[in-house]
Order: sequence, then C-alpha cells, then structure tokens
Amino acid sequence: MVSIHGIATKLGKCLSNLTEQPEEEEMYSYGLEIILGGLFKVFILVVLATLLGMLHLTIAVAMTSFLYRLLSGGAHCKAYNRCLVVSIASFLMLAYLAKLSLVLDIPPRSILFVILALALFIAVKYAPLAPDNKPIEGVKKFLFLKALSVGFIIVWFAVNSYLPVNVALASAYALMWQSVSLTPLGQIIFSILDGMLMKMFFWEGGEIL
Amino acid sequence: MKHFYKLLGFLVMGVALTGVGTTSWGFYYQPDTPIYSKIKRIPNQQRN
Repeated sequence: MVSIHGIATKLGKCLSNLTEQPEEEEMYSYGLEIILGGLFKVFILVVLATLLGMLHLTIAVAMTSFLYRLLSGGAHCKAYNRCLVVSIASFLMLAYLAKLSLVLDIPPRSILFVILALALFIAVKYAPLAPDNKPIEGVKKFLFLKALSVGFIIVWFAVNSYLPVNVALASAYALMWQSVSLTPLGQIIFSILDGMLMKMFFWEGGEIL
Repeated sequence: MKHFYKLLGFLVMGVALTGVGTTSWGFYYQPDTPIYSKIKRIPNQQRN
C-alpha cells in the first residue's frame, strides 16, 4: 500500500544520493515525511474551507494552531490518517464556531479575555507536552519551551487586538483547542477520537496514504 | 542542477532539524524521529 512514509523514505534516499550525503538519508526521509504529510493536509484543508466559504477563518485557525503547537506540543493521534481526519474536522469546526459567534450576541472581546486567561493558566501548568516518540531532553529545554509557550500567548493577544473580530475569534478558538490538547482531559479526548476512528474505518496501526 | 539539489537538501534538513528540536511540527501526528526509529528497532529487553 502507498504511504507517505514509504514515499518519503524513497525520496530521502534519492536526495541523499543527489546531495552526496548518504549519512543524512534518515534525516532527509524524516524531513520529507513532515513536508509531504503537511502539504497533503493543507491541500485538503484549503479545498474544503474554500468550498464551505470559510477560507480566511480556517487559515487563522490553522496558523495559530501550527505556531502554538510548535512550542507547546500537545496530544496526538497514533496514525497519519486519523490525524488528517481529526485536524481537518476540528479546524473547520473551529472556523465555523467563529462564524457562528458573531451571530450570537456575545461581546467578542470578553471571549478573547477569557481564552487568554485560560490559555495562560494551561501553558504555565501543562506546557510543553511532547509526543512519546519525541521526548523533551533536559529540564532546561522543558523550561525554555514553557517560557516560549507563555510568550507566544502574550504576543498572540497583542497581535489579535489588531485583527478583524471574526479572524481574532477564530484564532482564539484555535488557541483554546490547542490549550485543551495539553491537559489530561485533552489527552483523553484525543485518545477517544483516535480509538473511535480506528474502529470506524479499520485503520489500525497503519497509514492509508 | 547540483546547486538546486544542495538547496533542496538544505531546506529539507531545516524542516527535519526543526522537527527534532521542537515538540510538535504542525498537525496531530508526529512521524518517528530518526533517533526514535533506531530505538524502536531494538527489542524491549535490550533497551534497558
């Protein structure tokens, strides 16, 4: 079966030959797996968001989520295909929630302040959360990533004040969802979603792409 | 063409190193890092 891992492994071998650095083959394969996997997800996300008329909101959700997740980490699915479904479904739902919030009569700035407070609390208490296959080595790095996570939230809030209300809300919901994924509750939610998708589509342990 | 491959290799290596150096690169799934792949290939009894 064709998989992104398989394609990346072959391309990594080719690239290491072409660059005359055979010792870097595994690193090239790893880098290519991240790039190819990410591009495929972004492509699907952009197509669906465009069809649903929420491209700008979805971009705000995705950008916030990507940037914060880079520093804070968070709960993960155990296979690429299940990550694809969970990522795309959650990003589109968050964008839709931002669209819906404007219809409801809730002051958007109050939502932003509540999310800021919760996100800061969660970052201080739980960030960073590394996946099992990439543990954080050393207390210094752990504290550095925690400080960066807190710093990101503060910068995010400052930048968010200048954004249009709907984009700011979409970004805030992304930050909240990402923060939840750092908590024990978020890990349980991800584990349930992962298990449900595995049962629904019989994708145990594998990648279909 | 050789310079193009070098540049491509440089960019891919940048992504890989960022992946190794950070907790999570993007979405909700992380491929095994090269170091972890090697560890995983060692049977459980020999790891300790």
